[in-house]
Amino acid sequence: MENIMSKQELYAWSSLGMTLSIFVFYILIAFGWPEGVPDYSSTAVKVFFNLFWIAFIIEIFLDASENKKGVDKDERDLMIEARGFKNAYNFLSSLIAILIVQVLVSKIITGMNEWFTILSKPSFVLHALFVLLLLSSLIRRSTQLYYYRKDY
Amino acid sequence: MKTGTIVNQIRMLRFNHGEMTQQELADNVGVTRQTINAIEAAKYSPSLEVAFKIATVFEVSIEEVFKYKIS
Repeated sequence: MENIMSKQELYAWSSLGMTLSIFVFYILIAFGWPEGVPDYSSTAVKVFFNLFWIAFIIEIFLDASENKKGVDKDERDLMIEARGFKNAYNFLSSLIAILIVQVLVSKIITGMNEWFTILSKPSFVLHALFVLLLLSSLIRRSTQLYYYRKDY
Repeated sequence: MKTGTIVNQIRMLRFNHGEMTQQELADNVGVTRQTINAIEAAKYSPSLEVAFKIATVFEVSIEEVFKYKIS
């Protein structure tokens, strides 16, 4: 009884699972399986596909279920949520600032190095932004789960 | 400045009130059972509002529920 998770903690777990699955799918689709590593891409896709659907079903179930007697979210949940948002915001804003500087620098010295040309391409910036968004969401949920688990 | 910790008598008060469960207390206060568990274990300090609500449920003053102990 002591360790049964609250609804908000279950939300955090399911959201972490969904975001992680999307992150892995996106990395595999955008960049492919890394070279020099035994190809387990089909296994990874299978595992994360199942994880995505399990997390999705849990989230649907949580949305549908109503806590008739008690409350679903209280001040502690809001405080933990705020800590998650704070960490995610700090991560996202600092890395977007680095990305902007990187784009500006690569525009200036684009002719000097082939690598800088790749970095300044809009497709690279788009990939980077999407990956950063997913990472910040992972950080948000991980922070929340850290504080929920820290209590036990 | 000296630091201290907030200790509470919630477990004892629950016992004295007909062995009230954490869930019952949570329902009366308007928080989740996990929050009551965290408060009881001194791992989370509630807001003044929740502290007063807990004291009201037990019909005691807030000082009888929470104490600030300077170490």
